[in-house]
Amino acid sequence: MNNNPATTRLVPAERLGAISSLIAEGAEFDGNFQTSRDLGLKVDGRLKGNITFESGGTIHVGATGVVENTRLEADYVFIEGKVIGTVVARKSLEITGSATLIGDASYDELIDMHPRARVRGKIEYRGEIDAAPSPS
Amino acid sequence: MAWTPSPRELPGAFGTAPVPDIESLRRAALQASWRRDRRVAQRRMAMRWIAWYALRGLPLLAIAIAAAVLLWLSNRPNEPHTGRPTERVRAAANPPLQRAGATSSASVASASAAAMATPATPAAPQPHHEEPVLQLRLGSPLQSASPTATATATATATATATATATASASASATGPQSTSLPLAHKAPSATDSPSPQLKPDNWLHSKEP
Repeated sequence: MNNNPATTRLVPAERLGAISSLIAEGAEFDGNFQTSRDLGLKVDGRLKGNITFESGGTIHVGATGVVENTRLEADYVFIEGKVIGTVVARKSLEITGSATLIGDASYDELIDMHPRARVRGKIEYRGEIDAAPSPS
Repeated sequence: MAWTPSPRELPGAFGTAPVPDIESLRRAALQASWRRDRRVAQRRMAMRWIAWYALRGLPLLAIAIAAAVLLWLSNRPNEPHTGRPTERVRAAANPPLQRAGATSSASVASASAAAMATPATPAAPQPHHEEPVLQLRLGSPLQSASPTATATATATATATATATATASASASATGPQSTSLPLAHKAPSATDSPSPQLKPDNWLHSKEP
């Protein structure tokens, strides 16, 4: 049996597997989440508020997750559910075909948007446009 | 200092039960969540793809179906059961003859050819046969008892009997297998035409006091 999330193409599965906090399906969380440690958070329920990882961090919004009135900031952001707000991915941003993003998104290095993904907002690359591409 | 219960104070079941590891618990929760995510995401993706294909291909599909229906309606053959009521009555009355003719295809062909070879008998009885049958079926007993109708029916019965005799004679001359057409032709005339054997019954009824 495959124990890894099947739909990820850009965000490493190790990052998703290292997630340590979970807002389960059916739960509602109202407030802000902030940490300076390299942790991970998965949202399967409903969240109203901001999630900020000052350094590192992985945010995974599951297929059943809904995040509203938010600002998501982390190194890796993986969206399968619905996000209403602003998304800032310092390294990689991946939006799957089952996702809905209403708001602006910005990223520093990589982005992957699957077919049938629904995005209403602005996508912004925050890195150097004229810089040479990284060897990776 | 935090209070910690001693092992002697705990019940035996709690003391010996295996405590799940936090890491394995976290792994199990994540894997269950991934399985649920995969299922929900696949269903949602399928619905999105179906909606997209439906919106894209539905007009073309509707046009193709409409064109096919119009083509079929324009080339549809005339069916006997969709005609006027009189045609329905004739179609309902004709099937025994048609069926008999269809079943005895090869042998009846020779018999009908032989019957057609005789000069006056083959085509004459059929038109005379259909009209009195309708009169006798639809008319009231008083109308059927009128002298003109009785005379017409008697003449028709006589003509039918002669035609049947001629056809059976020609059929017996051609072979023993060609008996289906005269029999099928004879059956409706025997049931629908008035039989002369009713006369003695009426005569007996009239003799009652």
